[in-house]
Amino acid sequence: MQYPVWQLPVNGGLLIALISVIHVFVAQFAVGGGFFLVMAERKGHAEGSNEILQWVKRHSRFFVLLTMVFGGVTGVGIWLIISLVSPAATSQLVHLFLYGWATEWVFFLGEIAALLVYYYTFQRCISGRMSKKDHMAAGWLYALFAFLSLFMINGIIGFMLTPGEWPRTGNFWDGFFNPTFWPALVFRFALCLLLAGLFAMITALRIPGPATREAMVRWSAKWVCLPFIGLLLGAAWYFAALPPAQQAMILRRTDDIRPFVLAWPVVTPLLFLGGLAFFVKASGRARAVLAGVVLLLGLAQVGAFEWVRETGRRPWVIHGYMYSNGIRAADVERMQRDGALSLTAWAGTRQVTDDNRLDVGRFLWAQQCSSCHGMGNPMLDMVPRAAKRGVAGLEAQLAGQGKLLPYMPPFCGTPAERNALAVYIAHEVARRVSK
Amino acid sequence: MTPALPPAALVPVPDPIPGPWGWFQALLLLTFVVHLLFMNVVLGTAVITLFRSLRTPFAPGDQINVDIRETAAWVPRAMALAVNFGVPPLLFLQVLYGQFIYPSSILMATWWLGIVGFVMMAYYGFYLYGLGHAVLGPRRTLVAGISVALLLVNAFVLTNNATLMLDPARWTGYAASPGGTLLNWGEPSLVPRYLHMVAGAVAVGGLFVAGRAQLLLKAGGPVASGPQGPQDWNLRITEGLKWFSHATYAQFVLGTWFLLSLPGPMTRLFMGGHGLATGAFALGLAGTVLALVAARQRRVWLAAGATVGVIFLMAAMRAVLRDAWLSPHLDATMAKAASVPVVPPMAGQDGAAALFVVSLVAGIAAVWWLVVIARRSGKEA
Repeated sequence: MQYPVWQLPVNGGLLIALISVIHVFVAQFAVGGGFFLVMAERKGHAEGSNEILQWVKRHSRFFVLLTMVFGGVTGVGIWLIISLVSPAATSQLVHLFLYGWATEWVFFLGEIAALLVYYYTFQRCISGRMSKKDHMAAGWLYALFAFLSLFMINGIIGFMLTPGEWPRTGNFWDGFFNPTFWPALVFRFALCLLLAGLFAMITALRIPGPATREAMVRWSAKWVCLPFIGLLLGAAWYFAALPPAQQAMILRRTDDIRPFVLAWPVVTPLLFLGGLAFFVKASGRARAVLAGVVLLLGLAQVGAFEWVRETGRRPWVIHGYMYSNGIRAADVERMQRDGALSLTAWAGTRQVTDDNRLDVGRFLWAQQCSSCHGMGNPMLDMVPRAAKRGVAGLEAQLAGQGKLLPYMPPFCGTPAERNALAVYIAHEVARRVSK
Repeated sequence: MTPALPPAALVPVPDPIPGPWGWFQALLLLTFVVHLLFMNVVLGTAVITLFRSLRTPFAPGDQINVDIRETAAWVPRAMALAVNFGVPPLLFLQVLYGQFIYPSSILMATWWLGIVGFVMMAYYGFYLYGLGHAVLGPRRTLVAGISVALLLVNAFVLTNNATLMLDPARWTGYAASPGGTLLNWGEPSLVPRYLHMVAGAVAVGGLFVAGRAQLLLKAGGPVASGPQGPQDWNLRITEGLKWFSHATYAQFVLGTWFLLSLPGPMTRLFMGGHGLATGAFALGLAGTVLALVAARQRRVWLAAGATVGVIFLMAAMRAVLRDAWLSPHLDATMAKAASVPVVPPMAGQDGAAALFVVSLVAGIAAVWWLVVIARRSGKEA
């Protein structure tokens, strides 16, 4: 709460969501892709098929371009956006898991080095200047490092939802190997393999020889269908491992999460059926259309899962420790007693007056609401929610947060500050409605 | 609403650091130097590529054109590593100086987030450039120009944040611009610091061009379709060393400007006020002269070695400058942090540190092995 608030025309949470979903989609594809590439290369060597090897080579270039750079840079992008929108939570995660992040960086470095060597030496392997064994070893290293990256990040993301014993012990390992660590790892790894198969099906469509093309499309489709079992088991285990509070939050299906909760059970079978359709048979243009549809379903799958997971954490960013607006549970009582303005110099005042009421309200909105809510923007838009409430209704709503409305953080401030926030929201909503 | 409180009150209380301060400082310095080296290769080689494209008439099969393209192909490769090696210094910076870097980043958030897009677009620009002349044709110069402009904007954003984080007095600009668009224009050292960094990158880019040519000359060139004989590689070495020397001569002006633009007490740190800073400065100057002499004698590796040493010394001077600049705020916030009980207490960090060290050693070994097998199979991986 001691940080300035980036006052954006759109809400920061939406930016985080957009960058994250794209990154996770590409990054998970990279993890599964490592395994896919070496297994496909092995098949090429075993069958003595130059056509398969050439395809795997072209496919690996796709990884260099898409996963290594786009994935790597959007990964940094997530880090930047969360540090801009949720600096307190980011600082907490960076300080607590510094060695985890640093270890993940090492694995990412290994991943890049292995992928560069794997791609740039592929032709030498095909032409015999590099041994198959060495080249495959580079591929396995890529797969291993990519998996280990997932392993590390999975622990830290899981910690935010289910910190387990950490709030009591403060122990790094309690936080890292938290209650959802293993089920999430199974689920995510299955998803990674599935996504790798998904992309491969699409690039395999461009193999020139019909026989090899058919064989590789079907072989890739298996990568979509088989991990499906792991995906279902992982999802069930994951849900069962969630503490009751998080389970209840997901089942309650608050407004913004509902489409994603509903999407997941629909998208998942569709993804499977799409893969199966490829596997069984599709041809010509239908196949190209199907490829696009299946790809979009994959993105929807990742998006739905991440959105549900994020929202299941509500109203916390680190469950039980820090609220989604960056206020620590330990600070709530003090803020309610002494005022939200007492903890930060960035508001420029410590008191609400008739002259500064709207300004204070704007600051409190930015501080306590804007990480989740839009004002006339997508994602939990305040305009329809507050249009008919009036100042008194909004004050009542703010007073009930955290108690009557457990999916919202409590309002942290004095009654005068609560009034200032309500006045500001009513003012902004009225301004937008009248437009 | 104007923040009426003194700037010192704007600095947050930092979170507890999970290990010794000096250990993270060392890691910050080391990883930052590696990041700088890759970044310099990227920016410097990109700038040189742009000039070479402008000066050389486009002809797909021409040896010089092929060499320009094959040199440019290293830009995206180095960029992937520059981005990767940008992660640990930013991580250690956030751990040690989070109370400064988080607020300053938020104040210029729009630009700060923009670097993600700038880097990505520049990467793909140079990737296309390196792919083959059939892809871009004569438009290569335009693509290189846009990519270089993006990289230069990127560098300017980074320099802005590096200076903005040092001076909470400038954070009061938030009152007038809370939308994350603040730039640190009022800081006298901003422009010289930026030009100093860019000129340094161009010098290293020149060394990269010369070093690559030297390696290929030794290997008996020709590569796929590049220069055909020793005389061509020698021309490339001359060209690269010229870029290095001219950019380094410019540093005597830019560096002096940068030094004098700092607040008086900061300038004096390097003029006898601080033993380590003054020593590093003197050694850095000596190293620069050595690198220039080596370049004159066409001793590429000596020039490169001396330059790496100078970059390390400059990074160390930068660290001293940062701590001196932040000193009053740093001491006050650290004292405040020390007075607040850590709840829950930090535990298990030594084991986590061991995990990091073991993975780092294993990771370096794996990368080493990868380089070995790549080199074994060809001359230019």
